[in-house]
Amino acid sequence: MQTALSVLVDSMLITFVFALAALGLAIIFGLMGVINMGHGAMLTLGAYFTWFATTKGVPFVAAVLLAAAGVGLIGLLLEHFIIRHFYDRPFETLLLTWGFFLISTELIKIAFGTDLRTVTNPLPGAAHFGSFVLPAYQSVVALISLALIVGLGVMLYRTGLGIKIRALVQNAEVASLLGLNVARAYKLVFVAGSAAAGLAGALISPMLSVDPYIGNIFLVRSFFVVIVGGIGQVLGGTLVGSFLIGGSETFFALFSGQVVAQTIVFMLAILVLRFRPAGVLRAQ
Amino acid sequence: MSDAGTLLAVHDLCVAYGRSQVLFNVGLTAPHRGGVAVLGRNGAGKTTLMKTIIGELRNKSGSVRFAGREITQLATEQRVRLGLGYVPQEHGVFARLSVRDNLTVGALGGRRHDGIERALAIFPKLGQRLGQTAGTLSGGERKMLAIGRALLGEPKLLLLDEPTEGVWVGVIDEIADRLRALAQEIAVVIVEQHLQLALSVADQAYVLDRGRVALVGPSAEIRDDPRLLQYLAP
Repeated sequence: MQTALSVLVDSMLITFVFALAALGLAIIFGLMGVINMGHGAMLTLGAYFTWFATTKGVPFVAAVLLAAAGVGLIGLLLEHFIIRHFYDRPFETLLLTWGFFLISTELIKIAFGTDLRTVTNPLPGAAHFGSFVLPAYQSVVALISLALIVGLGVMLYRTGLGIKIRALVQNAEVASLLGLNVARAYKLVFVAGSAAAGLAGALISPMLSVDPYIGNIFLVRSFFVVIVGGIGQVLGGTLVGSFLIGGSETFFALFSGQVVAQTIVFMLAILVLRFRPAGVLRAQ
Repeated sequence: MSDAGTLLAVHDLCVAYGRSQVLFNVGLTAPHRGGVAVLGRNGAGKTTLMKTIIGELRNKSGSVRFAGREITQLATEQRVRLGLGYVPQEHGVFARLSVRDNLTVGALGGRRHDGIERALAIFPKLGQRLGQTAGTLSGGERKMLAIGRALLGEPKLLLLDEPTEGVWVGVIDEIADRLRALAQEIAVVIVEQHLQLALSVADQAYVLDRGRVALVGPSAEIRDDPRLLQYLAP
């Protein structure tokens, strides 16, 4: 019983970490349709900015916020100078964001080297319930992830800005006929997605060793999360996709090794897409 | 028509898709109130003219002036904010948004922010569909939604491209009544295959033939012009 509860809690925590990591991609890819191969680099930059700031004595929370803002700013520059000219050309945006990933990774290596870096866990404690352990930091990150998803949901479905964005991503041409500034709205969404990726990288940095490829751990999984959950289903789709891709891996790892568990999860994801190509939550 | 009484003035408009020219030196004016019909067979250039006026297409030469201002170089959303409205021939609604959200977007994009009541007053039927996804509406209801939503932006001039296309015949009269009433308040430029409807809404009519203005005059005269059928026959 204790083991089952422990696995359940672990899988929920992993689900929320994956949801956090995938949220930026759910916004940029799921909402805007930009296949952002630079998502992993944005996560990595968030992690490095946090590491750099904390080593310079910046408190962890401020460092996380600075990292999110920094990656948001990079997203703004990327969108303004490059991506906005290619919104209707998905293959080009795929290549361009892949180029952004390559350049960012090399610049990180030049600036910070390839050594593994560690960000001190700001909440190293854990709550013990018999043999069942609830790590404090992961729990707080899960709550932040949940709060971000709920906040994004409120913004998208309960505010004028959210209705504008949902209209815009459905039909930019008609949105401009209603006087909406399409270019500005696209920019806002892209920057929000970038900042979300930076925030995720920052919050994940104390859980893993920081290296120039830390974001890649989540890149493919994030794409699976968004596609399996349902492209455009930023809220429920991200959570369901995260549970299927991240949370279920914890279950399968109970009965097998980590590699076998990952293989089973990706096979299941492919199976899901075979029967629901538009994702679990996307209307058929 | 004097310049002071002209809201929209299109001069010598030439538009091409690549090397294929579609409009040749087209001129058109619309007053501050009243209807203007643009007639012509399929491929005559009617939709191209509408899209060029609203800014979706760029012209090769010529000019578009609105409310005394040159707008030829302005983006679509800037033209809309100046008071132009456009209801396209198709895909005019956000299919996955509710009727209420569709109307809210129209109200947000416009200059007034006092809600969606104006659209519901013009098309009361939409009030019964507020929670329904726009993609599930009938063709007529979609047109009502698109027109009602465009009106929430408080346009001074509304461009309507085939407002009765794909609409059940029983609903056409309802839409026509609203358009006639609307033309008493603002300028309405209507492209319509339904000849009698278009001429009943419009005081002035233009007939396009292969990208050129072939006939222009008061609707009553155009209706009786023996050359009209020649220009409209497929």
